Amino acid sequence: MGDALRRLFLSIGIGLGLVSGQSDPSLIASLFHEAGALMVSIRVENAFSQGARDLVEAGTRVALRFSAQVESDSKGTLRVEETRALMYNLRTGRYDLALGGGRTAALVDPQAARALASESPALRLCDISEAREGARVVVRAEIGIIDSRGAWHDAPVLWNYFGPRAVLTHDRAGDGGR
Amino acid sequence: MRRFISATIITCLFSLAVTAQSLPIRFSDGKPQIAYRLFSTWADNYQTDARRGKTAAETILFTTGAVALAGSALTWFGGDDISRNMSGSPMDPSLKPNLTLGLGIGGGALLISGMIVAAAPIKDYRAIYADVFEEQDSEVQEAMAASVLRYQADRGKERRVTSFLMAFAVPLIAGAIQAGVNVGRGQDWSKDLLSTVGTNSWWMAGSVVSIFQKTPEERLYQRYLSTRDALYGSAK
Repeated sequence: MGDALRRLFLSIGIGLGLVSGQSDPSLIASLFHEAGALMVSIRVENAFSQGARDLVEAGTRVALRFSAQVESDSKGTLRVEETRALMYNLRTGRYDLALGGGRTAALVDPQAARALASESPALRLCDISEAREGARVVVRAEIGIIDSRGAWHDAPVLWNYFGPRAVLTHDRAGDGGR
Repeated sequence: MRRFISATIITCLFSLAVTAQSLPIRFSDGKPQIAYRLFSTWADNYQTDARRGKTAAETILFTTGAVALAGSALTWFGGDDISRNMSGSPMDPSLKPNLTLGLGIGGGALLISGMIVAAAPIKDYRAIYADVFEEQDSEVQEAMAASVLRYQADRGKERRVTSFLMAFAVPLIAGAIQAGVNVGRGQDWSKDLLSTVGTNSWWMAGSVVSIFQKTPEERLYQRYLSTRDALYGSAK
């Protein structure tokens, strides 16, 4: 009862603009087929909390790691992952975004930079024929900090220890992204 | 001037480290940790204050509960004698059971509240944020601590705004109930409305004060930002 009242008045406060609401990150993932391959797209909503944004603005490299794994018929468990790291470059005044595969981007708009850092649109899992029919595809997202030597450090505290996860089911006939 | 301020702050941080003994200042990339220092002190202070507050609450609840129960027993068994000594006549027969019952229920409720407070665990921030305390890279640890300070400051602001709105709503809800009761009884809807709203507006007065008073967590984050900016300049 007390918690419900607190939530009610908090949403009034957010509505009046007196306080900015902070939501837990949520993971949105879907499977699809492309050129005979099973692909997965992953996106995290609310990936950058106020604390994480502050760190990015202060020049800390905040990173998101997306991973997906599926049981294949012939190769056992297949796992793919991609890391995207974002920081504000004080020298250039742009947001440096490190995409997977050594690609980088420099963006001016913080919202666009955060949106790009929060998604991994097409990760190739395996050939469609390799993935077992009805196999579970477990998708995860983690948040971390990249130190000055380029090493990853888990930082679940930036998500208040909430680790979003999704389980999808592979359908050879054409994945609907469930 | 900025250099002087920076030097003063670094000296203060150093002397804190020397006097505190328990927590030496660590450096990230040649910079002293500011957020981590504030965060760890906050976590420890919270623990100490919470323990102290819990002991005080337990003492008050158990003592007043026991006194009320003793008063209840005294009223029942010795109320007539006390009344005779003081006024020459025994206690009012209708007052005796009511007073006994009132004190008994009140005392019991206070004792139960004391037990609930005693059983409630104190939030252990050292355990909750164990990964921040155990992080080996001082640069990363500083960043994590800064994010915790920000998170706690945001929650503090949320609590402040929420309690303000709740307190603001109390007299309005009380007024609405009064108006509803009046209409239900077939009376003028505004009868006693002002006095009902007025009585409950004490809540409103208290909340107006609290909305302008920042929580300790908000002040702590502000302190972190101003120290950081004084040392390294504004981040952006």
